[in-house]
Amino acid sequence: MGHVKSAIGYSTKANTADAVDEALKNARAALGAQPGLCFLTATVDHAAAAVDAAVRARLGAVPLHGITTSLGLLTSKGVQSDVVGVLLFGGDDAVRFGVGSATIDKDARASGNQAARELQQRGGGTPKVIFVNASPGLEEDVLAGVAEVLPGVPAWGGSAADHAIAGQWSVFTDRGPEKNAVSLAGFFGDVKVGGAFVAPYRPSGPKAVVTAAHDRRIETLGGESAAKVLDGWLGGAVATQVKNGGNVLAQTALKPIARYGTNDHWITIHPAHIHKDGAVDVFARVSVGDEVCAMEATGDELLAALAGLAARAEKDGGFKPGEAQSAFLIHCAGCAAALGERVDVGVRALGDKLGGVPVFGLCTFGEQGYVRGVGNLHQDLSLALVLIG
Amino acid sequence: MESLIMSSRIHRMTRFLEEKRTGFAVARLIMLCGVHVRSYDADSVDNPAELHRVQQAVESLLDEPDRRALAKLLSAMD
Repeated sequence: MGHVKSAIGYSTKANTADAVDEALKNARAALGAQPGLCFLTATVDHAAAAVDAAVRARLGAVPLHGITTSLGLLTSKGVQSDVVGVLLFGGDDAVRFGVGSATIDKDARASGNQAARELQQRGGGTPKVIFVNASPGLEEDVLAGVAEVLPGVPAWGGSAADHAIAGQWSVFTDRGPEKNAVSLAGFFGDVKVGGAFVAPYRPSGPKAVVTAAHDRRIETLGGESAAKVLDGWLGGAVATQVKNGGNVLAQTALKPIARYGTNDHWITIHPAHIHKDGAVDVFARVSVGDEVCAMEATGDELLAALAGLAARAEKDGGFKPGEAQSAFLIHCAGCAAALGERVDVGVRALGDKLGGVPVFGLCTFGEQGYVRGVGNLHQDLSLALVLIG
Repeated sequence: MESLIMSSRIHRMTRFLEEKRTGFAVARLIMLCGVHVRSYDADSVDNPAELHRVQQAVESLLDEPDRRALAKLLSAMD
């Protein structure tokens, strides 16, 4: 039997203080113990500062960690919109919890390093597992900074999100909500954890080598305009954007690109915006020399991958169905948008597969997870599930 | 009667969508069109470019009967 207890509460009340009250009341009743850590989320329909203030007024010194979620909170009872959600953790003397955070300015690696040092100091050692939440943009550097301090520790999480990629997101750190920041939460001691990280796409054939790129902008593929190559792979679906520039998130949510990791794990990359000069902005870092492949999936395949997370995470952690205390789900907001209303069906089905384990799911603008044989990765259009017990 | 005193078509479309498809659909609408529809109240003046984007996006989220019902509702505002 595990030493961690956890419980979920959420509320769709319009008034922020009332929503926080209801969410915490439900979670505390289910937890039945003093919480030692609170994962916090809300949609941007609630002001982050108001959510934070209300939670702190009610939880006191309990450490906070989290992000704003796009679209809603994914639970075993479906998608909860305009929501405040909490996942409370408590445990016996065999477990400890800790948090660390840092503002991200220009050096995200240093920010990850700083947050990891604080986590290490507050938790009193090396955690068994880390949960990471950061603002979108520099997640690879954040993970690199964390690895400098806590090498080899599995890290799971997602990037802060809003509804429209408008910069309205927040990271809920223990110091308060911030626009550009990283928050880490760690579990120390005798903790049972099982995780699964999947990119539910398959190669569709075309591939090319990145011949010019800078950070998250691909300029040329195989010496040709990246935009024109991408449009060719998409059968002309983004011809207007190639001509005029524009957003291509919707057109590429089921047809992204990827580079190969290892152990059959693809690092999916979501093309986001095409520039008139032929460059393509993406949501994960690429380097000159990377070979990228065209990928594809259907909505049915996304749903099957979502349901399949349950068995994968149970196997990884040695959980029997229904044994875990809670299930922490990271679901790419792009995948959720591609699924539309079917994501509600999908997350309920995941809850059924988990045998009644409560699901706390975030829709994110980037996903981070641990892949055996590869390590901690940041990528797009991915799904992750962590069972905790 | 209420629809006659609302001047914002964006607000009216958002309310219609929410009533028909829940708040999740409104979140998807924001994601699709990039317009902060919840910042529009009944008396707001619609930005023409945003109105166009919202109109296109909301139609993609409704089925045909609901599209017709929305069109009828909006024509009553003219």
